[in-house]
Amino acid sequence: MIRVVLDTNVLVAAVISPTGPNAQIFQAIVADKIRPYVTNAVVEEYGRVFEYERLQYLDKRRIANVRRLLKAAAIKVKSRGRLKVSEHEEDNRIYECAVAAKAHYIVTENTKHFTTPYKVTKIVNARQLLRLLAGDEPPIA
Amino acid sequence: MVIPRSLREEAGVSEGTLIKVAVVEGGQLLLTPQFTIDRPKLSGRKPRKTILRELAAAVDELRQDAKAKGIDKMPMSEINRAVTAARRDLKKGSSSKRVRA
Repeated sequence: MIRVVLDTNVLVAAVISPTGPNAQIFQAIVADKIRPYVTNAVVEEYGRVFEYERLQYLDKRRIANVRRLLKAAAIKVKSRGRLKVSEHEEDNRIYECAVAAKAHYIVTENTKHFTTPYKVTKIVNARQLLRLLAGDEPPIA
Repeated sequence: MVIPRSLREEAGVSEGTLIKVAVVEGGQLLLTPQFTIDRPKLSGRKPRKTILRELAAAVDELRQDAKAKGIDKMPMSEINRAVTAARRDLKKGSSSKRVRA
């Protein structure tokens, strides 16, 4: 099973629109082809993001329901401590989750912030992961 | 273990029942019928397939809401601004923790 940590932008894009590569990543999760991992910090961020920009106008009950079920579907891991891999301090919570999960991939649409693979974890966007899942692209070194 | 039908019927045990076997005083065998319970039922957790199906339905509902409010075409730049704002606010409450390189 491929272990992934979804950056929050991937999650948001997937749950607001049924089209596009991020929605297809979500489909792969629902089909149990890839398994998402979370820490408390990541789950907290998944909830908090819906308080900003136009996302705050989405139905709160529906957001809470998605968050609850995603938490149940994901494998929860405990962060082993603070890391300083990314120069954007707040992005390190995603790296910390990936390290605790020994994740194969961090999936993000913000590759400017996540430039560095760390230990066993590669950085990919949704399109790249879909190609990897389809076997069209060799694993990223 | 095969138990004669007459004995099974007398004890009220159906075929295929899990039986616990113990040796008791005098080398006799004591057979005690057991109940089996699915682990997810015991723990109160739903099977993974059920959770994933419910997650798909919940996301579908949220997408409908997003579409109705015109948020479904939100550009990634705006999503990233929301993520940055969320991270900035979460950072305020966690800046005193230990850091390792």
